[in-house]
Amino acid sequence: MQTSLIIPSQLTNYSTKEAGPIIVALAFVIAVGGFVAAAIVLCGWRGAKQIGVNWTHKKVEIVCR
Amino acid sequence: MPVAARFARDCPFLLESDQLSLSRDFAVQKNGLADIPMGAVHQVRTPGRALLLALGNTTTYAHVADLAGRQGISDGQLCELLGFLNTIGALERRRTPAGHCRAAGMQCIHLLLGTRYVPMTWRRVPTWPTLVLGTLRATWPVTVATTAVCVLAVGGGLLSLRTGLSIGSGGIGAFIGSLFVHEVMHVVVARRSNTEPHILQLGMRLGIIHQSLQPKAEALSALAGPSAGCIVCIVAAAICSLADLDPVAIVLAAVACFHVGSLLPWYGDGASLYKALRRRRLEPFS
Repeated sequence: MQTSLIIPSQLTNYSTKEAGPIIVALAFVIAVGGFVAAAIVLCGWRGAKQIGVNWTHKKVEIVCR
Repeated sequence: MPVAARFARDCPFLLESDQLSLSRDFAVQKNGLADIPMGAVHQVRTPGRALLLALGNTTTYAHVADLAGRQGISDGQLCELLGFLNTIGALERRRTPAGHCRAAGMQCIHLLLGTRYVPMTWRRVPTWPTLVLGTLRATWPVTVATTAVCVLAVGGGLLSLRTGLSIGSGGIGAFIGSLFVHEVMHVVVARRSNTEPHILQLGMRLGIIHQSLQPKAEALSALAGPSAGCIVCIVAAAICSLADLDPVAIVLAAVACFHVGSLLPWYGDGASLYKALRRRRLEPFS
């Protein structure tokens, strides 16, 4: 087994803490983008009127013009 | 100790002609590599020290790889060492414009073959401009994605131009602004504890690094950042709600939730907070 050349100091923590909110924000935007793309695919360009979430039936409802 | 795979993963893509050097914040010492502002010394075994000395005077990657071969350092060990230097912001790379084009083409081909490289780490002393720049560098994928989704929604007839513009600009502005305030609070708390922090940005990873703080200061730092970011978003959401801009207020409330989410105990500020609270329980008189 190859030996490691470095033994990092434990005095400093180099972890980048703010990756979480940035990645969650990107995932949120991509998810919203997915709904928008689905509405355009289903209703055609400029065909979609509204996207809504029906929480009682756990469904996303896309209303076309 | 086996080669640390986590550092090897952070090895950036390098061309043989790339000029490499060590950041001025670092010094090669007898027992290893000193991170001067952080007051930390990372131990480096003898063959690796020759590479660090070569990197101390600017040199090409071709020379570093050749030297590694002569020192009996394997490709994996070299990758681990360069990955570690990149992780802590010690590695600096200079590349010609033609080199940038060549590297971009080669990285695209490698990506199609399933290999993805991490970018170079960006490390600076926090000032107002560097904090803004660091936040923008880390969040540009979110900005591009939000703009694309808004253009798609407006073009597809789902949103009016006015609503699309207000949601897009409000969402991006609130996200970047609140993240900036979040980082500023970490810097303020670290400076109040008499330590000089640095900004570290690697792709979408952004953080403020500093020397180890007392548990109370560490807990305060972990709480101050997310709380400040969350408060900024809630205030902005309340203003938008009063101004009848409810869609923007909903987006701002979502951004506030992202900040609160960073206090979950598994990662980032939440992990720091719970670690500090555990240390406080073990050292009650510190």
